[in-house]
Amino acid sequence: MVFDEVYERFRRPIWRLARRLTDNDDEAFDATQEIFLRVWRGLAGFRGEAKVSTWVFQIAWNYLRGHHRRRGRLLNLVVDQSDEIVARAADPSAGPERQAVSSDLLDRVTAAMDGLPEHYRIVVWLRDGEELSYTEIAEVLDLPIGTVRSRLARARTALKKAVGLP
Amino acid sequence: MNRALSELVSRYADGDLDDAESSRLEAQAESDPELAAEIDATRRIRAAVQTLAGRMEPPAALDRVMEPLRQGPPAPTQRTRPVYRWLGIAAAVVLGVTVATEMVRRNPTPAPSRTPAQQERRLQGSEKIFELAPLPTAVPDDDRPLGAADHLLEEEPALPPAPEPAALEVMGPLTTAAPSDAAVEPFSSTEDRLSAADEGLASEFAVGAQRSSAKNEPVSRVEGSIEASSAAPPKKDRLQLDGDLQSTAGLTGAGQPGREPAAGGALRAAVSVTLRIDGSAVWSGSSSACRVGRISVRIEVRGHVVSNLEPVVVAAEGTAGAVCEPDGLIGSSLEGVSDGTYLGELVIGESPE
Repeated sequence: MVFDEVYERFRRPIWRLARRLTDNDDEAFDATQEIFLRVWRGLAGFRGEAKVSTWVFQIAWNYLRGHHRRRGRLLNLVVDQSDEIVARAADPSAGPERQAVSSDLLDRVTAAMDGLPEHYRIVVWLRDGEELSYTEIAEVLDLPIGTVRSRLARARTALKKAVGLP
Repeated sequence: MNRALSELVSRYADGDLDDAESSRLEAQAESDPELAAEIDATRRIRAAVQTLAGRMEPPAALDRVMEPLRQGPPAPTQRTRPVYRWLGIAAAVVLGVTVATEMVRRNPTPAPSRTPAQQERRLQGSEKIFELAPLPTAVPDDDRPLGAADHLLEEEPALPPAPEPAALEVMGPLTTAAPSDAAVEPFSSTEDRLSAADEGLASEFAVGAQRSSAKNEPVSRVEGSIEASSAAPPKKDRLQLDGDLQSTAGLTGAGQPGREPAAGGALRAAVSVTLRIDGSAVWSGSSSACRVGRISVRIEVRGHVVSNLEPVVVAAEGTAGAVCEPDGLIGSSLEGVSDGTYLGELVIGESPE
């Protein structure tokens, strides 16, 4: 496998993942470089026993998880329930305003994502952001699939609560 | 809503339920507004995260940074030991760090050049042995000659003729060594670097250089340290490299040798160097488990050597021993002379000779 192909295929997903699991663009930039450097190093030893996507995301997670552990980042769940936001978001007749509300909701989801504990955030992101299957997520994170399901459910519950959805 | 039902809803939103489970949940939701709202909210969250992902694009600089790996060298084989984690390098700066090792067994008689103050510090066991030299006086911008770092500010990185290497101002055991072309042959290109050096490390250097170029920022500071310690009993000696890298001033560094390890103790050293841009570390590297007696630091800007610092006697006490444990130190080699002198060389960025 040629590195260039891997890079082209995963440059967006890995950047997104790095950005979601770091605090800012600079950190994500550095992390993305490091992840692809590790991919490049490991490519010669990649035997195709796992899917490329699983393998690349494993490398990314192993680096990013350590990144946060090293930084000792304290994560706090963002909880902000606003009845007004929820009411407007739920109003299908809002028209143009609906778009603004959706954007606001998106901002809230983003903030809520950043506030999730890392092991919840990664599950949500791999599933909803990168659309990995439960099985793939379990392989990337080296977790039983049941744990993936339960964490995903809890993470979504936390997100809903954080943005004021039921 | 209980946890089990929440998980069912989550799986339902993902299409992870089989037909029978889905039908049951849908039927239940028809008579349970709370459950229906839960399903709708889960879908909203899922859609929001998907939307968020769709809006995230990596910066264009990432492609430029990755270009050397995409087009350049093959992936390293497994025999390569990437113990180092040399990450990015500063703006269009190629930093070559060369550690030349020479461990000289201390002469039984005190060195005549040692000052009383140094003797006192030694007796007190002070760990701080080097004092930083004052930074060189800056040349007014209008008058100063164009230095290598100036070219970092240019949009198009047309390589200028190699500038005169900047002089170093050092004190203590550090000596100034303005490199001659014969003594220090700069890399002429990334390709040369890649062909000459360990594949893995060289590529990282290349990555760093590209990254620097993308950010187009000058290197403002270089810091480094050498830490040597004896194995038993553990003692530590430190030497700090700390100075501003400027186009006309070069690297200023200063230091003093630390406590020498107890006789019989194996002298070991760790080397770390950090390059900073405006106070933020952009590149660093470190190693350990190497007998170190002398270090030289070479800094290149776009292939032109602008600073060179050598040698630094870190410690002169040691015992007969084996060569430096490579420990991933690319190109490291040491020759031990049991009767007191150890010579070796660690070259990063070039193949060992």
